[in-house]
Amino acid sequence: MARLPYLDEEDLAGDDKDIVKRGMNLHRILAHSPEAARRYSGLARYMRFDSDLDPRLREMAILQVGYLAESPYDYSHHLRLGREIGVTDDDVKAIEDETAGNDSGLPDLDRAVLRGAREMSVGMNLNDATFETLRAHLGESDIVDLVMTIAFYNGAVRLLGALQIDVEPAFQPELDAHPFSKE
Amino acid sequence: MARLPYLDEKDLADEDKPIVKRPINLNRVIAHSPEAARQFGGVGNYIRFGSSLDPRLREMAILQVGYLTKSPYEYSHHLKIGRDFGVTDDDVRAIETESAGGDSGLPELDRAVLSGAREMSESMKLDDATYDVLRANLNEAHIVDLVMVIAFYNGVVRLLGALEIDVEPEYAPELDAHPLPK
Repeated sequence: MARLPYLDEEDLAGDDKDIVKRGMNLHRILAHSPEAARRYSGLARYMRFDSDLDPRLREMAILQVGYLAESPYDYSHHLRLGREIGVTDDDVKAIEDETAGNDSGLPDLDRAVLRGAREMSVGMNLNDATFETLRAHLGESDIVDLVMTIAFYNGAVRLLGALQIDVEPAFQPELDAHPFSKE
Repeated sequence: MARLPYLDEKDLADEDKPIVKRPINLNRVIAHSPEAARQFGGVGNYIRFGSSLDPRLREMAILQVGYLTKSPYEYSHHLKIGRDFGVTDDDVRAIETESAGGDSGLPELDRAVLSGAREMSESMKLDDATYDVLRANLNEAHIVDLVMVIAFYNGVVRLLGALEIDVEPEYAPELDAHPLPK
């Protein structure tokens, strides 16, 4: 159960109603601080809609962060979003395999993106080998966007966890299809 | 040494030059992706200038994240920024004490802010006892802002570390005065 009440349009001033127009629980909580919600969403929307970084790689990185953090909200939302932009079930299985330390057979760049997400999440850094693979494939702008995405979602999973934001019923089936653990 | 070249005004299109108006190394690297830099800066500017959360508490939370994650850039910058917002040397020593599990004697709210920053950083959650103290002292908007600060700076330290952004010479003395743990 969320630690703050969920807000809806009727709870918000005219200018702020937009914050909850998509009805997502995350926004319904951030709306307690409307300008914070707007700035936070501004960065998230840049990454989703304006960044030139390959969307599938972006979502793989986000899923890796969510999987490692066992963030039900982040993971369920990005399983759906990922699917919409080209992440396959094999890709999701590959994230599980790579996280367990196995070679999933994904291409070098994909594996480096996942490895980089794990290295940044756990060690606050990127290993030289990982960075070199990324840099061999991605320009400076994409490097910044990828690193910023992994960084931002390390923030997101902590915000979601701290405020105990609930997974909406519509997203629960994503977690049923791809649970965090196999037991 | 930073993993990407530092950019200056001359390297940027006119509309992007404001990104490095404050020519700190962080801005000079994220300028490689100008719109990302602008949106990232939008969150940072809200935290520093737009939020009504007590600025000293905010800087204490940021310093706690930097101390725990051993981020020289974040820590050195926020030692200076923190001073501007009322963080004292005793406060910084208190962060060291609290991080080691001791009781610094700070007020209950301050200790809960620090504990919350550590809990969120390490376990992606807030303990019930910590949350109860925060909620007894802060309204909903301030709770959201505080949690967002701690979350965002967990991102910042990772971005700084991944791109190996160097501490500028003028900030290095901060780390001599208040070293990070090994």
